Order: sequence, then C-alpha cells, then structure tokens
Amino acid sequence: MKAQVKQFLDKPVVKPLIALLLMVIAMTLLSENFATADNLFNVLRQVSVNLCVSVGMTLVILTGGIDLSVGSILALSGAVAAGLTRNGLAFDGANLFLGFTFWGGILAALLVGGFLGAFNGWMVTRFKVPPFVATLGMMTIARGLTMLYTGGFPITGLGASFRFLGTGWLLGIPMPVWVAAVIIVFFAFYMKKTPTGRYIYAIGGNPRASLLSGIRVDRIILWVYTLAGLLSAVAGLLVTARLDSAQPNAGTGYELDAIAAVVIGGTSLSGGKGSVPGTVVGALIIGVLNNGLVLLDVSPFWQQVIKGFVILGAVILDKYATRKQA
Amino acid sequence: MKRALPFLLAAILTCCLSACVKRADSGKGRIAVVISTLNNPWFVVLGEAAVQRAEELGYEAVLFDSQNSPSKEAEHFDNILSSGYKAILFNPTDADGSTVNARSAMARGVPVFCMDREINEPGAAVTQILSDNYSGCIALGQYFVQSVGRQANYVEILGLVGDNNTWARSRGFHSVVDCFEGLHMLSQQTADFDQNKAMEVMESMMQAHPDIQAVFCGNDAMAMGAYQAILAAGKSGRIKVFGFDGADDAVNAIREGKVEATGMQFPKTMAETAATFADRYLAGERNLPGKIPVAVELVNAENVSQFGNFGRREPR
Amino acid sequence: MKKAVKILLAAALCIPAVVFAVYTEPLDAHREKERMAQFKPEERADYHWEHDRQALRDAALGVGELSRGLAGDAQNFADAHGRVLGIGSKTFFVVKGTLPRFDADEEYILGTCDGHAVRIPVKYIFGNLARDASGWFDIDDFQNTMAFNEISSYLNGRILAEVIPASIPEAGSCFFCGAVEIDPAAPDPECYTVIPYLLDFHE
Repeated sequence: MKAQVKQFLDKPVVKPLIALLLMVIAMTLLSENFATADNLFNVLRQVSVNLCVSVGMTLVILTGGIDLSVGSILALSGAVAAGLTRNGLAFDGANLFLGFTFWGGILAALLVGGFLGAFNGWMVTRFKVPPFVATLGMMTIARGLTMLYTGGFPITGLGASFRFLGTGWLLGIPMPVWVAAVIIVFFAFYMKKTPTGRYIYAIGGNPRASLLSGIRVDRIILWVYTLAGLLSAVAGLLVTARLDSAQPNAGTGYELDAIAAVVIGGTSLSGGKGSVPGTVVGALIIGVLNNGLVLLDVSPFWQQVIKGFVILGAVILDKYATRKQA
Repeated sequence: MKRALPFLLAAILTCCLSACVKRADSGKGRIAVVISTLNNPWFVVLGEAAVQRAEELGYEAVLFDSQNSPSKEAEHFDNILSSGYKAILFNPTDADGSTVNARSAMARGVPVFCMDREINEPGAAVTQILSDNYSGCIALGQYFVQSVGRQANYVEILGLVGDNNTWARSRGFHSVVDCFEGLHMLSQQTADFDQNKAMEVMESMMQAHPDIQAVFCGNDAMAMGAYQAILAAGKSGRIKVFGFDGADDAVNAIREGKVEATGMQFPKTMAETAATFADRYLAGERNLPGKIPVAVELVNAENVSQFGNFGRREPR
Repeated sequence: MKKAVKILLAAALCIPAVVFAVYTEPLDAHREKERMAQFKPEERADYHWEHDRQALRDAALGVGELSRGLAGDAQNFADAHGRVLGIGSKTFFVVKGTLPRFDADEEYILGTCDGHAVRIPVKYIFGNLARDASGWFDIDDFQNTMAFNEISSYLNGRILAEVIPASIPEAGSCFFCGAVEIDPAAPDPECYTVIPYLLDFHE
C-alpha cells in the first residue's frame, strides 16, 4: 500500500497538481470572488491561449530544444487571418477580388504558423543552428513581418464568427476553453500512444541512441517545430477573436509564460522528461496565480515578483526531488 | 520530509498572500477606473482625479493600468465583471479594439463611461466625455501660422496610430495649415506618444531635413522629446516646437520660451464629469448624453500665466 | 495503392477547404460596395443647408442686441440665447445685420454694424463654428467625432464656394447672417468674427 502511494506520488504530474489544489483552496479562502463560476471561467478562458502555446512548447522542450518565436508567430498568424478576412486580396490586373471567409482566415493563419514553425525546424535540423538562436531570429523576423503587414495599425472589425470564437459559449463553456481542451486531449494522447510521441521522448532523452536505433531524428524535430508553429497560430486566432482585432504587438512575452508553464509542470529543459498534463497543470498554476493576485488587489509589480519566485521554487523543488531519487 | 516540501511551499505562499490582502468596506459599491497607461503623467492625473471624485461621491474606486495593451485591458475587464463592480470609468487603448470590452460590460449591466478617448461604437458606452482635439488643434494651427509665418518648412510627429485622438489632432491642424501653400510638411512620423521615441524621431528628421523650422507634435511628451533633440543639436531657438495636452513640463517650457504653444486638455474636468455621470446613472438617471466634448484651450506665451497643474490656475 | 488512397484523401480534404475558404467577386463591384458604406457628410448636411438657413436668419439676433445683452449679465444672456457644445468656455450665437459701408481686404470684409466692429472671413474658414452655431447636428447621431468633424469641413467648403462671392463688390452695403463665438468671461471682444450663412450685397 505504501509503495503504491509512493508510486502514485512519483508520477510527474502529481506534485504540481497538489500545489495547484492548495493554491485554489488558498485563493477560495482569501477572496470571496475567486470561487464563482464567472471567475473560474475567466481563469480558464485566460489560460486557454497560454495552454495552446505551452503544449507546443512542451513538445519542443521535450526534444531538448526551445522556441522563443511563439509570441511573434502568434501575432503574425492572427494578423494574417484578420487582414485576409477583413480586406481580402485585390488583383487589379484581372479585376478580381478574392475574399476570405472566416474558415479561410483560419486556414491562412495555420498555413502561416506551420510554415514559420517548419522554417524554425529547418534551421535547427539542416543548418544545425542552436534552437535558442534560430527561434530568437524568427522571433524578430516574425514580429517585423507583423509590423509590415499591419503597418503598425490594429486590424479591427472582424465579424460575428470571430467574435463567437473569442467570446461565445457552447454548452455552457467558453469557446476558447473548448479549443484548448481539444488540443490538450489530442496531444496528451498523441504523446503517450503514438510512435511519434514516444520518439519525441526518446530524442530528448538520448539523441544519439535514438539516431542509432533508426528513429528519423531530423524529421521528427522538424515536425515538432512545425507543430509549435501551428499551435501558436491557433493561439493567435484565439487572441485575435477575443479582442475582435489583430494587434501588431500581440503575443509579446508569451514565450516566457509558456516556458514557465512547461517548467512548473515538471518538464525538464534538457529534454526527455515531462508531459502534456504536467504543462496543463503548470499553466493553470500560473493562471490561478495571476487571477488570484489581481482579485486580492496585489500591486502588479508584486505580482511579477511572486510569479518569478514560484517558477524558481518549482524548478528547485523538482531538481531536489529528482536528485533524491537518483 | 522531502515529500512535505510542496506542501510547505504552498503554505508559505498562502501566508505571504494573507499579508498582502487588503480588506475594504463597501459604501455605495466599487467603481473601476481603467486607464490606458499610467506611464504618462497626464493619464495619471486623469485616473487619480477619477478615483478621487468617485470616492468623494461615496464609492470605493480601484485603478487599473492597461499598459497600452488591449489584451491586458481585456483581462482587467474579465476580472472587473466577475468581481461585482458597479460602473467602469474607461480610458480605452484602442478606438476599435476596446469596443468588445465596453460592449461586454454593458451587456452585463455594468455601465461604461469613456474618458478622453472614444470608442467607435456609440451604443457601447453610456456617455463618452471626450476632449475636442479637433477644435483644439484648429486653434493651435491658427496660432502656428501666426507664429511661424506663411512660408516655412515643418515636420509632424504623430501619436499612437490606433487612437482616434491622434487623427483628430492631425486633421484639425492640417485643416488650417494646409490652406497656406507656403507651409510645407517635410515629414510625418509616429512616436507613439512617447518622449524617448520622439527624441529619436526628431533627431532622424533633423538629419534628413536640415531646413526644418517648426515641429508639431501630437502630445506634450513628444514635444518635450523633440525639444531635447533640438537642444542637443544646437538648434534651439531656430526650430519652433508645438505640442498638445497641457502637461506641466510643456506649460513650464512655454513660460521659459522653449516651446511655442500647446493645447490644454482638462483631464480633471473629464474625470470628474465621468464620475459624476456614473453616480447619476447608478442613482437611476437614464437620459444622459452620448457624447460630451470638452473644449481644449490654446496655451501660448501670452496666456501661459493662467494655466498650470493640468488646468486653469486662476479664475479668468 | 496505399499512396493513391492517401492522395485521394488529401484532395478530398483540401478541395472543400479551399472552396470554403475563399470566394471571388469582380473587383470594381467590391470597390463600389466599399464606397457606398463610407460616411458622406453631404447626406447629412445638404438638407439643412438647402432648407434651414432662412429659419436661422429669422431667429438670429441683431448685432446690437448681442452686444447689449453681453454687456449685462453675459453668462445668463449666453445661456438663454446661445448654443454650446459639451463643456467649454465658448458660446455660439447666430447674428444678422447690415454693414452700410465696408472695406474688403484679401481675407476679411470689415465694417461696423450697430456700433460694433464686424469682420467676415472670406478666404480662410476653419473650425466647427458654422456647424455648432446652427444647431442642426447632434453629436450623438454620428459614429465618431471624426465623422462629426467632417461635417464642419464640408460646411466650411460650401460657405467658401457658395456664400462668398467670387469677387466682392467695391461699394455698397452688405447684409450678413452668420455665426459668432463669444466667451462669456470675456464678453466684449474688439471685433465680432462672423462666419456667414447668408451674404447679400446691395448698391
């Protein structure tokens, strides 16, 4: 019995989950507004963007890499979706106007995100650029492209479909939460049950051994960065829909929140260890922390300090526990 | 022992948080004051005046900083709407992007009163108290022509492009100045209402166009930045600077002859009017006007003694 | 075989995706639709300009009435007879009168009416005075203040084009009906600047 409990507690997702539960209990006791349906849906809705980005980040970090460009890719995808849906494309020579529907906008965003993610992956695999550097470059490039495309202006007035995606409800649950939930369930399954998922863990744990055992490492790494780009695009769509406008500086700093969620959730930055459910808990911890501190009227500057300490604390704890086991 | 560490962490966190918790009494309820940025003293005055007036009227007022980001503003609105605030005094970050937030608040029965900046959907707020930037810049433009003459080269530094005020000011200015063919605009760039950016933009402009004689800036922070650039280039006195807002440093600069003119907006009037209207609405009044422009007064070397501290110093 | 299935599947997914994603229409039709949706100040202002100026003239104060009223309790007089826009220091009046003699320079017609100096701008007309003194427009009826300000530009343009004659007669008298703004705290300016809704010259 004791051994079974120990085994349960050793599962990587459990420790962050306990911390999350304690935080929720604390917040409920401290603030009368926390445990309301309204507020909890707020938290879930606010966390859904970070969840999409963090899932992609989890995959990338599991392979031992990192992706700093997620925020910028988010912005560009959102801008492209907004711009094409609102303004379409005009071809003067052929007297043709190509209008984009809501679905067209989504498709365009995904294509942009996927393409940029694949570019990241290509830099990493073909040219052996360290992921930090490659995605840092992409971060600046994508941001610049967003500024060019939008001219520095927000693109607004996107129509009822976008507004529904951002602020609508389906069966009593906000739409962004549905999107995030579908992604989480899909990728949790993907990582545990499909061969590609297992290969991702293998590559992160021991790249040489994976290569020698016949795993097509380069291809999978390329695929992982492409997925990260696609998920950033989904997040971009959610952000754009929520505000009914594409902002040129959307997504700034989102990569840090994503990395924080991944790390708090128990994923190791050196790769090979971690899980999607862990990241979900990590993102929820950050979300509950953000929301709780605001409800308690804590100054925004103190919020930053506390958040930083939580991240450090989570990593230290995790390292401590791992070393104890070894 | 090691197993207990996560629990220990959570316990410490809880204690820290209890220390941070402020308990407040209700009174007439809470009013949220959402300001686009607290990085600019003009907006700080707007926010604090609103808070002060709301508290004078018996409410508890809480100030929120949107950090010039519509997504931060959306988060604030989420929290406000689930925390039982009675009304929102709102300084939007974007005329179109902030519409969703205002609309969702109104839909939930929380009235929204806009201050200084407008949102492009009339029904999305109960009342919008706006600075009449257009007329203010017409007066400024007329003084510009008087001061600089009918033949001159000038440049323009715009504010945030997503803000209707930026364009109202620019159009007001141009509706006057463009009537005079001898006045040439050599360049028009944006510095996002930021002092440092304006300094850099002005430096570049002076490099590109050595014959600039005047600069019109969309707000006083940028005017001060432009002045710093002019001073550093040794051209002070040769390039006339015009701003807009009525900020303290600009008014002092006019007094010292460094800046030619600015337009005094009245943030305290706007904030106090918004708070008063919110009070009237919550008391049951429904016939409130949709938009109230607040006139902007030209401040130049002749009348600068009457102005200061973001308003009129003494009765006229 | 497996590859063929894969390709067919990909096509089956891609083609509907593209079909649902985009639609086409002729470019000029699209541009026409956009133009129709834009704000046109003429639509709001033309009716008033064509029909309501006589009413303004009938209700206007004489110049003498104005100066006498302001000499007393200026604020009360302004509240009773003038219009204001929002919160501000200026009140707008519509006045009428005749200049028995006048001088005309490049920018103004100058003269005296009922003992008070009057000047009428003939070259540069700026601002919202013409719009706000008329009382024809309510700011709440417009989507944003930029649209509201376009009304002013439009009115000023019509005044310059239709009310001010191409060449101003050398001699004779001049009847005017127009808008003037006064700050009740400084109710006695040297000269009333009147933006004309109506201008008539007689021998």
